[in-house]
Amino acid sequence: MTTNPTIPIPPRDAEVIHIACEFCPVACRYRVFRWPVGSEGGPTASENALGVDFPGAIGQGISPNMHNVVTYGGKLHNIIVQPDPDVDVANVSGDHSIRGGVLARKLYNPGTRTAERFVTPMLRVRGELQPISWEAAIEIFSRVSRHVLDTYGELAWGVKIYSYQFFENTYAISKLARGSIGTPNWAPHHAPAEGDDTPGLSDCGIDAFNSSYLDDKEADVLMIIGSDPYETKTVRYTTWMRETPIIQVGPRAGFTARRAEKNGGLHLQLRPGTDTALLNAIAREIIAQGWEDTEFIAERVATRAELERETHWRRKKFALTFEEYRDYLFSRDEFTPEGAEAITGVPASKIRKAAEMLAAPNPDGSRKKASIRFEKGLYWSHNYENTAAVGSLGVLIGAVGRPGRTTSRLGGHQRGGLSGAGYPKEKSPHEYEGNKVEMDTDRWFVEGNTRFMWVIGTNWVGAMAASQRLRRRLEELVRRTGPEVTSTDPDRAVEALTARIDAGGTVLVHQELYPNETTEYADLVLAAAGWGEETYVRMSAERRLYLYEKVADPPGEALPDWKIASMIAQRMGFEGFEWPDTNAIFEEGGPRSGGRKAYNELVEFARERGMRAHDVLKGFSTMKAAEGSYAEAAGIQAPVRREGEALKGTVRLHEDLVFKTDSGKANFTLPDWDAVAERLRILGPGPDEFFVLNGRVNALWNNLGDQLRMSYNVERWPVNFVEISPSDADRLGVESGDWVRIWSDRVVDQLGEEMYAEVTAVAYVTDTVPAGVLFTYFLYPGQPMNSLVPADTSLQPLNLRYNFKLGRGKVEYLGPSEWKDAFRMSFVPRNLV
Amino acid sequence: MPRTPDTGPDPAERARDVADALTPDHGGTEVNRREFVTLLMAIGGGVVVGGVGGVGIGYWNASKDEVTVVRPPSEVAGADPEMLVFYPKVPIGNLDELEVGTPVMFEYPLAGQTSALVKLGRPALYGVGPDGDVVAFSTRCSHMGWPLDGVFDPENCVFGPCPGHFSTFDATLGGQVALGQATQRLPQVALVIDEEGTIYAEGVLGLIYGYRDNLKDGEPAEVTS
Ligand code: SF4
Ligand code: FES
Repeated sequence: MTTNPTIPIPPRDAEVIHIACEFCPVACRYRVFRWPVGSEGGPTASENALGVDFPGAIGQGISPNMHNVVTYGGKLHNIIVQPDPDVDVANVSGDHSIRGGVLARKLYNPGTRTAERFVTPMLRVRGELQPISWEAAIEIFSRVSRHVLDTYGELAWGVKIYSYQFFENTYAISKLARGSIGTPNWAPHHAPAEGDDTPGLSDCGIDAFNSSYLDDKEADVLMIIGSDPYETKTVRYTTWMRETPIIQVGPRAGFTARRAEKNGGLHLQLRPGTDTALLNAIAREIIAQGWEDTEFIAERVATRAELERETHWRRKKFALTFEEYRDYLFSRDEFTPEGAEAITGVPASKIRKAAEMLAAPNPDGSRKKASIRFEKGLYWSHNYENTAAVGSLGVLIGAVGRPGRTTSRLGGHQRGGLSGAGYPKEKSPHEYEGNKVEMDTDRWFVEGNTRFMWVIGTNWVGAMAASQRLRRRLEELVRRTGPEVTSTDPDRAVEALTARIDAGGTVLVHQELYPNETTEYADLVLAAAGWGEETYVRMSAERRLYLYEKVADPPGEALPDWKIASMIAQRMGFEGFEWPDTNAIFEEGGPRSGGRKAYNELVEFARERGMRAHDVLKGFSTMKAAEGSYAEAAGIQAPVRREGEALKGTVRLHEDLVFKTDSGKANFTLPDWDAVAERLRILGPGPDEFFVLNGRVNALWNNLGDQLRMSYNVERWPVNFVEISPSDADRLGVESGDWVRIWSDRVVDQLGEEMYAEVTAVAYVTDTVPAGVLFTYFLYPGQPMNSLVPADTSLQPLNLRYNFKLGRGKVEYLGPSEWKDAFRMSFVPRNLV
Repeated sequence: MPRTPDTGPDPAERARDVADALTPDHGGTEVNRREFVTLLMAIGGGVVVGGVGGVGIGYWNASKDEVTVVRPPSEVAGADPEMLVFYPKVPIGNLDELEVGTPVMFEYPLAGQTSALVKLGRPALYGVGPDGDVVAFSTRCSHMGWPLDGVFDPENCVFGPCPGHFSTFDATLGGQVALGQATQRLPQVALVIDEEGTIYAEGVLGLIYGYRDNLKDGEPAEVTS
């Protein structure tokens, strides 16, 4: 019987391994103590590897959830995965969130629910997934792919893949799919198409990840739009933003909003989807008061003559000079404080106050250091207009390239994408006003054009919009077309699968750690290794490159994604995939790592010294800002530069006030309210409907592959929840803990048709949401809230991004749930300050 | 919806339901709720649980006679007389002295392990007393150990937000993290009350922050009541 909870203390000779968090973009640094089971260190500093005298003081403790027993080198080892108390960047002094704090429990230990990992490749035979050999799996994959490519061309061969799961994997897989195979049928985990997530900001010339966490702290005021950083970028908030006055912009009054109001900040609680009007009104008020950064605008913002010479079609269409931007804002009554109040619901007085906080000069006449941060609550609706509005506001107040003065994304995940081959946009079947745009792969699939789909490390079905349409099409194209596979014999399997393809069906391969909704349709499962099971590189939201060292063996026969891609490529006869390890890929990728990710100097530096690039990077893992500089501590901030004999990082981009435009100057972009208003008219809720917003909450991460296998998290969130305001709850007769159903017969699907979709959730009655607005977790297994989200990209044709934050539906009481009174799930307010 | 004391089944009943429904997670060292409640019930039925490294915890509202007083270390053969090997049963207060919503501090089981005893005014998981609402929790935040002394919110029955990183723990729910960053619940002190209304601490569920073992690396707390 487990009795008194205890944790083993690492002995002095325990190995120390460095790794960063798997989850959010802050990328907190962790150190792992690993030692064979059977021994333990003692309670004094001289007897243990922690150097701590027990009991430990603040920040020195180890939680039971930081311990696990894993296999490494075939032998059982204890591991302690501890937020690194020695770092002085990112998670200074070992700060961490509830997500990263339990990382140890993510690793495979068959005595836990991690036993549900895929441990071998599997083939669906007569409806059942049967373990098969890697040899057979790669043969089936390769021969079926070859058939599709030869018969239907590369557009029929698709990849849906995480964008962030380490440079070496994304490099290897994109080299195969976009290079050797040459398909444009490629989309990241979060969108139906490759391409820019923040096009309006990019068209201002501003890089989406230009800032450092340091800027959050140095700012006199921080405007945060469409994200609750306490919940979702936790340590960035608790370590870097906690003292900075915040203007929180979003429909929910969560922890960050409430604390902002209590500490000299503001909460602008706007109606969903009205960000453009609000930001335009703030900008207009700033101009009306003469608070814009006239010096920056005069020197570093493009003139009409310069804009005429821009070559990119989007910038030609949308880029504005200051005068044009000003004239647009002043031509519309919607952008007066009162006009915007009518649209957004934010009081005019608060709009004026926000303008003042951001841009009114200090008493001595100097400019305030204002920064703007934003994330998906902003740009997962009205993608172009909202990002144009935020970029233009940043340019207006000169919040670019200077300490405490930056306009930047917060990030949803870490940055682990490296292109092994460029996206072949010229082959895309989709265009906008005669300009090629990246392929809308979901639409293409729903139309029945994709014959082979390789889904890697994402729950495609649940994650994309109108997900119940995707599910229905998978049912038709995978399960109900052509013959069934009846044998694991590769010849017979390939015969059955190609027969299905020739009958108009689709073959689905799912490469994953755990089964999810997408796996239900998989013909072939490829067992993948994950975080901590291979040595990799990626970077944080402040571009800090880091070496993630291997902690444990992958389970069973599971393999890293790069390895699987390399086996497939070689079996298909492609060259250039014979890497011995991830370091070889990292080095090969150096010359292709441009822009904010550029690290080739590090590769060159290593080569000159006969070193491995991974090892050079590893050298930065234990460096401290206090002993050198902020940019080269616990990793190195890309772009990596060379100064004499030393490698140097880059604290922030655009410090030279050079921007990513043809002129090198910044510009404004049109934050077109008419386009937004028209979209809201089509997609907005009717009189008896709610806005059904979805997003993340503190404890949960993405498809919950890890979290729902930890009892600690399941206790808190045993089912999906929906926040509902007290007044709506009263009206509907719903109390916290009651089941509700949320449904809509007006979900716009990938083809632009309206369909019915329904999901359930347990009500969480709270004043976090205003009346008429619901909020729920976006990717809870079995309760796919994205099924209520519109998928018609023709409503956003110039950049194919879904309006994830414009779900709508009706709500009905279903009855009490088991959690209502069972002392299992807390329903106390989550916005107490 | 706030739960009021007069709704729902009796707290012990609920605790049992919870125990039945919980999924055990065998991977770690954290005592899970099923085991906790099993222990509670075992002792409630008069069964003695003990042994070196074992834990003795009182059942909800059990009478004095039914609860086995764990033996002091001096009575365990071979044990270091300076160390606790069992959770001692120590008086920490009296029901009559508790005011709803006002925490009373005590240390348990070791000196420096500060905890708060509080009558919540609404039934709680593992709550004791006639209303099932008397609970006690460690006041070292289970995130990074900042003190939670003085941040009890009687209206919402939560400890927090913690001054460290704002974690909030639901005192009606075994210290579940309502919002925040702690990687385990706030450790709850197991209580028992005798006929005279004396409240005893008898065990701790969860590892107190900073410790490798709640019973090691310190001196037993002085008994104050
Ligand atoms: S804040 Fe983000 S990176 Fe840091 S521990 Fe939490 S999830 Fe990981
Ligand atoms: S110490 Fe309490 S939340 Fe961090």
